[in-house]
Amino acid sequence: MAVIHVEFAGGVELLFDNVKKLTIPLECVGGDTASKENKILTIKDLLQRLRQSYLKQRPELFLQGDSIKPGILVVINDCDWELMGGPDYALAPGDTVVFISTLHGG
Amino acid sequence: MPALCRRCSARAILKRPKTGDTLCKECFFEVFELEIHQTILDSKLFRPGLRVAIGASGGKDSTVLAHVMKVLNERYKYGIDLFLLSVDEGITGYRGRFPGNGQAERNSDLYGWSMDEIVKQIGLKNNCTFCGVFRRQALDRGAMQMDVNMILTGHNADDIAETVIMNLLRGDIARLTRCTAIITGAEGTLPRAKPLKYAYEKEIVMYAYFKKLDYFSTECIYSPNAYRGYARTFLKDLESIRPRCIIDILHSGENFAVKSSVKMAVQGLCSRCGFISSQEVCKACILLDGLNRGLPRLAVAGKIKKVNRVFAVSTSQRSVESASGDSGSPLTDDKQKPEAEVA
Amino acid sequence: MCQVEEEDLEKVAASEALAIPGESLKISDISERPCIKCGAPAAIHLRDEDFKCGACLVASVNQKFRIVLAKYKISSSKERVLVAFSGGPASSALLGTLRHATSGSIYSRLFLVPVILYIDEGASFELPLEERKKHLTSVMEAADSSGSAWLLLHSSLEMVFSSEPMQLTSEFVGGTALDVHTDTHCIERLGKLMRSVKTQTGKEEIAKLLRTTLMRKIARQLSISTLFLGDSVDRLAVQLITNTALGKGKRLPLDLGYLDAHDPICTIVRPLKDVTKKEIAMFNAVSEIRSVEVPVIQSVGDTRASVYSFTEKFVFDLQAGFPQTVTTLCKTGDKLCSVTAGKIGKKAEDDFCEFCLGPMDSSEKDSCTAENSIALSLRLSALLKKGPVDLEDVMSERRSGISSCGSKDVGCGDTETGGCCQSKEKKQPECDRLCYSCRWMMAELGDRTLLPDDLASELDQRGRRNKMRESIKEFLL
Repeated sequence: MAVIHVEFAGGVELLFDNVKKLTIPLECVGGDTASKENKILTIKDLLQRLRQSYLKQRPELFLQGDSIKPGILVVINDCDWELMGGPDYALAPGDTVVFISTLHGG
Repeated sequence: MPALCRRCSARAILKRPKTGDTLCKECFFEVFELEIHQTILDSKLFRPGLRVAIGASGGKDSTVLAHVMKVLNERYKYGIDLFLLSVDEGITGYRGRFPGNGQAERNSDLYGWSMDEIVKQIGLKNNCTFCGVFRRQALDRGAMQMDVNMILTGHNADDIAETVIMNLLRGDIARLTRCTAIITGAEGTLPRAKPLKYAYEKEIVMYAYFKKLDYFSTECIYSPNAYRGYARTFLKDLESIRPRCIIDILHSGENFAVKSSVKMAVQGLCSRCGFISSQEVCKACILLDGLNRGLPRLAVAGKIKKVNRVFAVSTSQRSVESASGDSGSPLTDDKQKPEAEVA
Repeated sequence: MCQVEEEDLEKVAASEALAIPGESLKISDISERPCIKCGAPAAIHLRDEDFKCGACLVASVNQKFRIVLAKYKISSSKERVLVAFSGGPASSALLGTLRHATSGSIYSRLFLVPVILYIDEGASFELPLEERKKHLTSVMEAADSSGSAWLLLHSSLEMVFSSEPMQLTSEFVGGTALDVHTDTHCIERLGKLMRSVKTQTGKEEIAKLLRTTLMRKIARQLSISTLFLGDSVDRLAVQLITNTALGKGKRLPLDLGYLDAHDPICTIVRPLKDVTKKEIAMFNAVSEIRSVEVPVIQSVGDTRASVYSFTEKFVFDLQAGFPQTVTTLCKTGDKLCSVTAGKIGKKAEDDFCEFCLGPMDSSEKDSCTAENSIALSLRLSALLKKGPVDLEDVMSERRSGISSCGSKDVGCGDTETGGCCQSKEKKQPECDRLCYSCRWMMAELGDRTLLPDDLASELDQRGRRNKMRESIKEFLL
């Protein structure tokens, strides 16, 4: 089954009940309503999924509108998401997406 | 199609917020370290034989700072001795562990009060003031015990830009011109320097991520000053609109000049404990006195006259006490304390 | 990093005091309070215990206007002043205060002759000509409704490209539709310039530079040496943060002061500098002054579109919770000066930016500054990797032309050949004559020729340097 790996670091994990790693079946990312066959799933969809099913507290510390809160870095397969198309990056099976907060501690 | 490194055409892993350039992992490490090295050269920070303490909180900035300083000291032969120095504020779960073999100063050891105890007294409002004041002095005191010549802190470009905006918002003209300086500290105190002052927070976190440096990222359980929170959020949003803003704010900050007609507070030394202070008696002493007298809100209330009045009484009492051979101040006690424990 | 420091202490206490909900007073609560001056029922709550009735508020705004004018010495009676008018509330209030000051008792009357100037900026964001005509007419009507027989002029932003002496339409007859003063060739050039700038922030900065240049041109053509701007304290507070965020820290005092005498051609005066947006609204309501809002380039896009519009939202949101925000900001700005004391005697001709006329802010070579740091970053990423970097090499190159390397790098916008036009022997002298932020603007622009040809030469008047030196001395005192 095609899955993607999600990791939280730098303090973001605190918003997810201290869970540091998640494995999500790719087809689940789109949610129940999206037609599972044709839709290209992006980081945006992943953010919505995380919000609906995994985010435990204070969503405003993770999301701002539809996108990620400024100050949280997104690294897709060890690469800055700004180089991968940002929120519109199309997820592929086996991708690893890491969310790292720069806002915590120091 | 992933982007390519601007310098060597390998697979890029990062878009630099400072310039917008794309870099691969190796080039990023190289450039990041070189820039910090150049900051150190340009500001003539070190001379051989210097004993330098790194204020290590265990968070991302100080962890990266400690790592880079060790690398650079070996690579470019600064000839300095590096030490890690950590302050334990006494906040449950906040400083769970110390990085490596550093030295720890505890608030409760130095002042007889841990932050948890202080919060019990004062409540959640304003507790950051106590923590900030005490931590700053604890770092100084720890450094003196270790007999170092300089303290390095992990403040990055984002932190300094945030401070510039804060000082504009609250009209703190003296700190506005001071806050962009790479070395601070008045005569008679240890100089503090910020080698990461031109490094973006994003790059620091990315550096830690790709170097697999382990750091401590728990948020302090006591909420931070709300006003500063606004400035911080504003800055992060601004950075997402125009990443160069951070360095531009630093440039602005470095070019602020104060009219000669404006009076500014002169930094001197606290008459009680001898630490750097812009007032006759430093904040730590005032706060501590308030705590010990059961009037924790004394100094926070901002009524200088009242504070002075209380202190006039307090100093006269103290002279009587010391005449009778009983030193009542916990600060003077501390100076005679043996070395703080090593974590 | 947690950055709470000792000095935060007083501020925390101060902000607590500020948090008294001043703005949330209801109208009915206000009218129960007496005016602090005359005891009549108050109409406006300004701050703390400052309640005022309508009449006293109008008087106080007029008074603030006079205080600023007293600082600005009018050289001759019947001096003509150019008054920038946008149609908005602040500039309408400025006309109101001017009318008050120039009428009334002969003993207190100011002998100023205002010339009202509206600059239509529609072309900078491609507003259709029909719309521009409509806006122009309504703005001119608003100006006309001030009831004074002042000269009303209008021009358009694109005319900054025109080499012809400006034809200024001077007659306004109420009720007639006006023709926008424009030229297709100029519209094209402006459009090309605006399109070549990618970011909204850059577009706004360019438009601002063009507007200032055009107003200066017009002032010179009319032989007027004073320009009044209707900046309120709220607007200046936003400008302060925006300037800081764009690297124009050294320019702050010019953009915030009562008086900007840096420009030898035209002195800028801001008579409403101490008046808040709220006071202006009340002043206009009581004095029955009409104002119209016409779209400007800043109204394109949402609040996150540009540094200016985002900063505006930030400052006004903060102001709602902490009513002292804008005044504190402006007071901070007032304590800053643009020239460092030791520098006055130095070669003054090198100390001003050709474009914005702001003070130069280049760093010394090899000093530890933000500018040198970004110059190094640009250099390092331009340097192709061939084995380990020899820092000495990079540094010696940086040294050989740094105040320029950063600037030259960004100055010519040439990123292909490693960024530095040194290597290409291009003519780059103007980069050394631009301030930090104008160099970045040039970098974003890419092509110098897109700008009006006479932007620099316009400023390069005979005797300009000397005059400037004089004006700075004044400024310092």
